[in-house]
Amino acid sequence: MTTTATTAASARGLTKVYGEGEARVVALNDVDIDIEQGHFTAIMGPSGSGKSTLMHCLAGLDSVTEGTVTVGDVDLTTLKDKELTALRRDQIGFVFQSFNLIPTLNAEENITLPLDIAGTKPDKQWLDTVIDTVGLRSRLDHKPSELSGGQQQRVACARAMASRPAIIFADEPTGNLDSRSGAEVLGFLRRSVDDYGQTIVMVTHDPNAASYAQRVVFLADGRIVDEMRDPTAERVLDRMKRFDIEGKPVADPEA
Amino acid sequence: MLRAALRNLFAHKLRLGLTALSIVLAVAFVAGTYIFTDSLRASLDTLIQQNQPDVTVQPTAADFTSDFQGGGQTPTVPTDLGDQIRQLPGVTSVIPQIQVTNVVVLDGQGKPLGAEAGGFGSGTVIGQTWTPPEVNPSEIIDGRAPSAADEIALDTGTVDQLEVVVGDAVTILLPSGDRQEFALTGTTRLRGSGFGVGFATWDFDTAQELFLKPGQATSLAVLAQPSVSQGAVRDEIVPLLPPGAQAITGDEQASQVSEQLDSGLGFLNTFLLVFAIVSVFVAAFLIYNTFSMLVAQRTRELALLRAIGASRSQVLRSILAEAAAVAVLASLIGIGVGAGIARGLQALFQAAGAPFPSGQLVFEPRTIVVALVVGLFITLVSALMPARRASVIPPVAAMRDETPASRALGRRTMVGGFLFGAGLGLAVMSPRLAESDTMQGALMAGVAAGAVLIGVLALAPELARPATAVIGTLFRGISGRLARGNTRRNPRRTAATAGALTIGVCLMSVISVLAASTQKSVAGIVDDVIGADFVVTGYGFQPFPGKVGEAIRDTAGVAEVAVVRQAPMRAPGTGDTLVTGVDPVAIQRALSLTVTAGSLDDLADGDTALDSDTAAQIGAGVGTTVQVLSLAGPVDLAVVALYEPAGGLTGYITDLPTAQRLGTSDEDSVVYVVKDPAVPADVVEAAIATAVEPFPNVQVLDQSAFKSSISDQIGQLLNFLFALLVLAVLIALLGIVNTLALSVFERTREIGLLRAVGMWRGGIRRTIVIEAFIIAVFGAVLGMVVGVAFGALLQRILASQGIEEFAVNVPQLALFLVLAAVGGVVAALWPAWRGSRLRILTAIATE
Repeated sequence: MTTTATTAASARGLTKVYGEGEARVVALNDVDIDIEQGHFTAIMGPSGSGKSTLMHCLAGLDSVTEGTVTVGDVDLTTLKDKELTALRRDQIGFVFQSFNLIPTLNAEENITLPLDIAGTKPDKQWLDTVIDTVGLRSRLDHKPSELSGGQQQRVACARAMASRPAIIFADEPTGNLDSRSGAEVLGFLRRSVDDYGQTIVMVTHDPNAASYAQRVVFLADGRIVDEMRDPTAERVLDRMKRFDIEGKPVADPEA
Repeated sequence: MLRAALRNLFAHKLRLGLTALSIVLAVAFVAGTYIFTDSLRASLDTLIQQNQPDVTVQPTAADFTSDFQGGGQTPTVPTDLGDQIRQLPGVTSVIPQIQVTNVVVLDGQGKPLGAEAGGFGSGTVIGQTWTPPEVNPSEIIDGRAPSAADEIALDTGTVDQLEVVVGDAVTILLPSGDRQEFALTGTTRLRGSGFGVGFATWDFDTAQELFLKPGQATSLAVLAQPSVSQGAVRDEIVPLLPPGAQAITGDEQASQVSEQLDSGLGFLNTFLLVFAIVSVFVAAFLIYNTFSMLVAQRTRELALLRAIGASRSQVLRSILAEAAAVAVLASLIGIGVGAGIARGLQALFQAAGAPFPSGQLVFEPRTIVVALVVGLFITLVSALMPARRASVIPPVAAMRDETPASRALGRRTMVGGFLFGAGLGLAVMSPRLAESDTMQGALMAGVAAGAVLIGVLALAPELARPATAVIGTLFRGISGRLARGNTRRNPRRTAATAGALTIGVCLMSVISVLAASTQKSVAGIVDDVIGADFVVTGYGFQPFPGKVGEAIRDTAGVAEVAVVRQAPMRAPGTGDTLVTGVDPVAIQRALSLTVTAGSLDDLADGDTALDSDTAAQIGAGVGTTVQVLSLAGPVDLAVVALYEPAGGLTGYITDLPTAQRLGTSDEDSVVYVVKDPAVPADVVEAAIATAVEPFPNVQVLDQSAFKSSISDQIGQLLNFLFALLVLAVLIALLGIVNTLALSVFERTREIGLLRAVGMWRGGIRRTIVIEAFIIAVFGAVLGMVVGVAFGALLQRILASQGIEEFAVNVPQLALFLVLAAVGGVVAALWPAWRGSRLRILTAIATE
């Protein structure tokens, strides 16, 4: 476990507002957060708490209404679409809940996709390491439709790691998986932090998934309401329950 | 959620809009064809019906001269016959008329009007007399009718082209070869039509002096008292008629002309409909594709309907009802657009030199019915298969996430393979059949080509995978790889999209190959047959004055001049045809004719040489006597030689004196010139050019120029046919827009993912454009292969008709390919733009 506390990404006064007038929704309200380098951070919160929006803003997928977002030492809010795209390609890795892979490309091509887009040669040794870590050596020439859900997510993880990004953002990466496959994927994510010093931010509403992280940030109503180090599933669950007890406006369980 | 719904609706509108557009275009072509021919018909009808004399007295020979413009003596009737008719009871007046072809209007430079622009039959107008309004189809627009020997009136079109005004002098080249200047007294126009034929009008005495002999007219218009029937007047006139003259009532004439129009316009209509049907067929692909995608995208929605209790037939009906609604709406719009197509056809025919009127457009109820039926039929048939597929979606599909994988292609491939094989078999057999009967052989080849083409279209999904892989290798990088993958994802859809283009390119390739082969064959014939050094022809192959040949004969360095004179006649084996008069000695020096029996040297007065095909058809041989109907009446000709038709010589050939008895005039159709071998060609050519200077309506061509002038004409015909195929290709390109726009919609999440992991907007655009390129090139190459193969087959079949050599115009075919590729890329621009503008988050979040 790393102990360095350098910041990989951070947000200051981050506010995100959707819509106008009657339909105005404040998704994020003056959020300050630092993502520590080489750490596995989980963002938790009930449905509608703004956790996905926070991730999208940190990852340069969505624009912010107010405040700044920094990845490395670059302020994302000053970048144009093209620069932002290049930053995502070179500095950030993504694992989504579903539809992570391009169906027409095989597993290997999907893994090297960001590198191919950038037109850079993959680091062969690193690629081999990644592929072996996720255990997909024998499946490289399979199309996504020929892979199980767990395998597909492992390909997505490998893709996220292949370009050695500064940060990997994972959005409910196990949301569509059975518990065994989910554990495999989470185990792999954690190993990449422990073994290779990868920085990972994961959005989840599953306390069990959050327990793989080193730090859990709790979001409610667009604000950071709590934080927990070295979580266990039980402690996270307890903390989550309190959202209900405190009468927070919790929407129905996430679909 | 609302946004997603709106987006859905928009996409829905979009796909129906594009489908509707393809139906609109196809229906518009069909409707436009009918509107065009109906309008033409209406313009001509007004022309026929108004200002008809009660009875017209005209030469009987007029019956078979109508098909041939110019050439031969002008058949006449005596004017004193008019004096006799005028005495008949019931006759109020007799108006002698003159109408001759081959009058040439010269421009300010002394060249035939429009010759610079290369117009067909440049400057050639009909010469006529000004008659009282009761029998005159024209009216004066400006000025007055000509009334003195140095006065002329011209039609408004010619006047505009000449850029002269009433009072100016205009120069006319007469059939005799003389130029004469006249003062323009007025401008004329055919009543109620914009018919594009030019007229030069004189008073009767002047016209008679210019074109005929004293006492002659080309027809007599007889007007009767209203109380007397046309038939009664005609019956009174008939006993007075000399041989070679006939009397026709206005009603008879109208119905005769009407019949000719019916068959002529019927042919034109059918000809255009063939191209319209090609467009309809192409549109069917687009409609089929759209409804397939629509059903695939709505699988969950339809399954939900089934789950809550909708029956299969209800689902089927709902899809078909949607199709029918689109069809009716699109067909109605198509009729409106058809008016534009009709105008386009008018412009196209006018550009091609056909003097078609641009009068008011006519919408017959039949046009509307046909358009609606075609639109509905094509849409329902195209939507039926997708609709049936929709109706068998199981309710459980509502719960499944993925759209069903593309089904196996088994049955379709089998049918395609069978058609392909059967077509090939027929194709192999057809040349042999053509040896005995060219028409039958060509018909069989046509059926074969149709079967092969449909077979190939059915097999196209199987071909799509390897073909797109090959074409895709042109593109390196991730965009190329993604584009290739996308074209192979749903081979059925790729094939249907490409297939629409295949049809158009196939037809264009067939035409291209036939034209190139014809051009090469003609050049070969010129080389083999024409021994003359120069060929003199009139613009638009109009006959020209005999003085031209005489002038050349007197030119230094000219060894031999062979003139060819023609006149209309009706003869066994050929029907209405031209008799060709030549000097037997001269023509054999100018042309290498293959004589199969007898000898052309024996061709004397009263003899004929007959081409071997016609001879075989009527069972004639050397020694046989054949009776022909000439302008001068029936004449017996003795066959003294048989020859192979070549170099434009076919049918009945006589010596010049015989030809003159049969009706040739002092005008020549072609003059062949053989030069003295001792004198350089350019010296002789310059001398001839000087000699023919007074005759601006002829051109002197050496062999290569003669070849290229024929090639140019074929090229013009080619362009005309291509113009008719443009719409089909346009619909096919629309299909690419449609497919890609819908694919972009379907792949929203994929595009979002690509953007998220770092692909620039440009990369997304590039991927979609490359996909379109691959589809377009695949479709075009497929069409080209089938088209060139079928073109080669047709060439073999038509070898006996003179297309003896096979040629491929490689640059032209390459141009098709480039245009198809460019068209595909242009078609992709809008879908690509849309794809690149997708917002990443919405894309990722889309259900």
